[in-house]
Amino acid sequence: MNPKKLFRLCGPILVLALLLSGWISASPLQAQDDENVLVIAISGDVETLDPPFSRFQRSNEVNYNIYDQFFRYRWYDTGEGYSATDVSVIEGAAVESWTWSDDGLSITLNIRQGATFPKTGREVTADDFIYWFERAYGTQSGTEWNALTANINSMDQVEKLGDYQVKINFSAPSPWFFYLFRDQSQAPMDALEAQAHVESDDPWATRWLAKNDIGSGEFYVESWEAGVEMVLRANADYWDGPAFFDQVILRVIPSSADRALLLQQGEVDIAKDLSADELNLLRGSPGVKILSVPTRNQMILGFNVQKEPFTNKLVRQALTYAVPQEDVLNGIFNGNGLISKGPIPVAGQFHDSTLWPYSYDLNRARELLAEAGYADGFEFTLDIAQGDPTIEQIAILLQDAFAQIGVAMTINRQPSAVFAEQLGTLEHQAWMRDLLWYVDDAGYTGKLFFETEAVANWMGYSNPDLDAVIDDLASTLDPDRKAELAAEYQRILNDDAPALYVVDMPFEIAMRDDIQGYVQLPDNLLWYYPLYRGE
Amino acid sequence: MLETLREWGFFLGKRLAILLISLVLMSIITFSVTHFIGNPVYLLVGPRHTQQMLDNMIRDLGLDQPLWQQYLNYAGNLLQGDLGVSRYSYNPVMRDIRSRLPATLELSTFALLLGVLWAVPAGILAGSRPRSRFARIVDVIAQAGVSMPSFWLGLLLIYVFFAKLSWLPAPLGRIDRQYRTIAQVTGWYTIDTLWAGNWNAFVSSVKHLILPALTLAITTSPSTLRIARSKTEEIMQSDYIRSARAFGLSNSTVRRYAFKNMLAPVVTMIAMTYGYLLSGTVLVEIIFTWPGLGLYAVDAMNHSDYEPVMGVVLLSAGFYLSIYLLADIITALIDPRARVTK
Amino acid sequence: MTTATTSTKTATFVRPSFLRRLLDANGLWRVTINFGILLAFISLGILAPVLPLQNPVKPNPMNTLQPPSAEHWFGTDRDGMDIFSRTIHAIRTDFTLALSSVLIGIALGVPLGAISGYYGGLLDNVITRITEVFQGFPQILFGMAFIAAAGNTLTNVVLIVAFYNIPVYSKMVRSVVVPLRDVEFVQAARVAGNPSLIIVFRHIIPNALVPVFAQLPLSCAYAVQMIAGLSFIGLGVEIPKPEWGSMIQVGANYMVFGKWWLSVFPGLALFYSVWVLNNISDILKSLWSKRV
Repeated sequence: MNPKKLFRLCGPILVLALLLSGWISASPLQAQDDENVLVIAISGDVETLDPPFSRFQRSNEVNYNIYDQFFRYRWYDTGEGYSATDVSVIEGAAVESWTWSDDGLSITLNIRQGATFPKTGREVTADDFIYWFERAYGTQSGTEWNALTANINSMDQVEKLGDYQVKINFSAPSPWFFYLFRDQSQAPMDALEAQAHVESDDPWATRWLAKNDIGSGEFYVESWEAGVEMVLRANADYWDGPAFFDQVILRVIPSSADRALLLQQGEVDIAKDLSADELNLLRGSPGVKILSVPTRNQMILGFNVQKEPFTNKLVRQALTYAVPQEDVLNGIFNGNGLISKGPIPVAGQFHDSTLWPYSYDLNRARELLAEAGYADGFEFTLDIAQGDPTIEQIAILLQDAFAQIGVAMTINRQPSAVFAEQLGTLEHQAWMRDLLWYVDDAGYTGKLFFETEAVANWMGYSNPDLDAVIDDLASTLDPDRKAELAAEYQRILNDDAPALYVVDMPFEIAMRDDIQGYVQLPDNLLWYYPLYRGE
Repeated sequence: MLETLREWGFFLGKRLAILLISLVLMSIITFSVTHFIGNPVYLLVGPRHTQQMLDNMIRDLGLDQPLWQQYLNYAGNLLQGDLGVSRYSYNPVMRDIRSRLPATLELSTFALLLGVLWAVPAGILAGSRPRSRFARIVDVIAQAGVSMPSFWLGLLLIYVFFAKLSWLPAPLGRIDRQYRTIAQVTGWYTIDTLWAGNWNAFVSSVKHLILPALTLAITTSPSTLRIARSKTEEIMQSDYIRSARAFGLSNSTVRRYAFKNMLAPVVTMIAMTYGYLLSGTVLVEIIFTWPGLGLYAVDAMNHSDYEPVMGVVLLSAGFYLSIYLLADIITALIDPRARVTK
Repeated sequence: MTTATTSTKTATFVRPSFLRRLLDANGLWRVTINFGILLAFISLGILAPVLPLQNPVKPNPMNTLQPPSAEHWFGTDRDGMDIFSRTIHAIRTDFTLALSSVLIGIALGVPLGAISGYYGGLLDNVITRITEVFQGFPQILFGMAFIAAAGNTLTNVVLIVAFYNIPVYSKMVRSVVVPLRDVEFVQAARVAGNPSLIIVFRHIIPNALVPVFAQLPLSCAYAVQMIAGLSFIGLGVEIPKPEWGSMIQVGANYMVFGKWWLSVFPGLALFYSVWVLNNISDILKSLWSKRV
């Protein structure tokens, strides 16, 4: 046998040898077996630890857990394996108690005493709250929007009354104050620590704070290996007692199928952001449970009402009649969820199903199209963000349904950055994404999405009547009046149909079946604090 | 001696100048292209923003300056080794690249080694017996290798070796979680684990490396095999080998002569393969979640973060061109004729 | 009336027909199989709309992820569509895109190479350097960047793949042309006063076309792979249009759950067509390199 042939066989033999030796000697896949450690598989790296600059759910979630917000909602056990928040009851978190003035235009906040920042040991005082406001206005970021929307327009309206007392004067009644200030970004930060990292071209320490946390929350960041994992440790001195889990490990696993797999094998305790199919495939897997919580998350197709043919209300209504909502609900979501009936989710406050005139009626759709002058149908492009198989599946179903009334829809997938940009610049002809109405208030939602020139009015929609209703809702505190206004709100939007609502989706999360204590937050962020391991 | 020095001088000088010009051209092209990948401003600012915030962001990013000025700024920074800052990770791109480079290097090198280990001997053997059954089988295998889509092959291997047989670990990175704290000496887990003396960790890193390296090896080694085969065949039929045999020189001597002569083109092809591998691992990195440069660039692209994309493209292109240059030099070293041609 | 003549049978060399040469160099078996399969693929692709196949883009949400069965030979995918039908329809997409890109690459690369080779000097140097730069780009990465920048359309996919083909043909034609520069018939044409450009196009390029023709199937093979690769990342073909790369990508997420049929079948089709094209290219190349 000539040496060359021998040599040639070396390669595959080597590979085989390695395989065998590895197979024999290595330990079996390590199941997650540390009781007090919670391992969560996430879809990508946490973007930033600086709350005002946090745009994405991953950062929002971590920030929610490492900062102690001003307020939080009370929660209660629903008896169905999870707890829900009662958004009508506000509890103090970093703020212990408060008193409103008689005219409702100012509030005095009593800061919880004895709370500390775990990383520096300093006590949380009014200065940290004042600094938060200063930083909001100084950085002109998301937190500023929160302050402005709460009718706190400048530092002049924020007074320090004592080491543990702050007074806020509103420029107008602020019905959303609590909703806004329980948000993940509203929390005291260690002012002295932040100020120690200020630089001449960075007066608010944004660069340092992107990578470092200075909160007083339930956890703090112990280590962060970018793109790989982040390890959080419980704050032993948290005012409400330390969390059950001493350590929370967030592992970055970009592929959803891999996350599902790791969960199945017990290597992670919770797998986030799985597609509808993956959740279905995991249902019934031993050791795994899927919590399905009805939420105010809607799958919405928005029309750009400033572009043909969507300038015509009849066209929009026609398409609304052509949406196969049952098929989407049963085929894609396996029956989990509700058929949408308007701009207020079915589970939302003041929703009224009787105000929803539509149903799946292709004939009616064709009639309306003909009436609008499009008897022969038309073409349009639907933009969606890349990387979400569930939205793709829904789009494909819609494409097929619309084809039956002569409307040819092209599905265009865009990188999320481009998709987001064109939402703002109104370049889409039509777009589809899920929207979470995290504040259960039609006025708040209206101010954000449906008011003329609203910040997130991605349909270019404008109806002065609706604007008036929204303005009213913004300053009304009387529930009966609110119900009336909400009915009007739905009536107008149902008729104008600037968007189509496909399904009210539940929030579904997959975890090992020994993880208990899950609390569903209205913004769908995962709250690590109340979780514990048990049977 | 002086003549050769002058020859070399001209040769090298010319080649380096060309390399430089090519790089500049590349940077201009990449800059223009990646600059138009969506405006990252909206994504960075988020849905709850004011016009003021938008303007501030645009100013901070330097996006309000004319295009050519932005390019000049960029080029100036490049010369100082500054590839910009990733708007998503807030890290300087150079730092990100440096931390991700070893992953791609390790993968590419192993893929190359695996490939060469079987391709060169097989090619030589097939070339010396061109009509044999062996040669035909090798041809088929090579043809198959080059025809397989790398991403599909990777998926298949994962399915067979992980999902079905459980012989190899999940395609989730370079090493099992518990060994990730091994001290980083070179950034190559295979070397670092041996350095630290941790056999289990070494095995773990190899097990994670096998499938992606194999995928790449199978799809890129055929070109090396073909060159080895055709050159060997050509040489074996050539006159001087025939006469060497006729003169009664032993088989091993003949083989040595043949080997030396086919070395140049084969080495060139290996170098080209390596250059290609360094930039062509993207699809495999995606499938195996291998945290290398390819995955880094793809992630950046999805966030309209174009500094990293430019950085990686330029780096890969620079590598490729440099290796091309190196291959030229090697050929020139071995074959003096190459130096003198225009 | 005939004059008696002795017809001496002189042995004249009659150039064997193209087919004969093909078969001699490669063997009947190899030629028939490869060309046969290619023809089969192409016919299936052309005839796809009229064949009794299930609708390749009709979603059926209640019938998703079904394994291969009598009703669905290759099973159904994530949207409930028949994979067999989609795999066949994808032939049209992939082959058309690949062929167009390669033809555009040839249309631009061949004249470029010819001009470069014929004129020589600075022009030659500049063109060669530029084509080298084109070749040095990391293909998938730059393709992604380009498509992300220019828009996710089929046209852009075709353009970028054509872009990668230009240097291949430019170099090839140049290397054929350079030795032809001083060949007799060209010199004659020059002496006769033909303008250079005409010389290039009328005399030189036709000679360069043979290797181009042999390279074409190979380029198509690379083009198909690149297009599938880009689709795998989600660029180019819009969903739910059948295309092998995007089918493999959709199926990738289901492999770990044991639903192998979504990715395996389109992958096999892709693999097979590229293989056949590679073989055919080898067969054609054997023609002009062996000087039969």
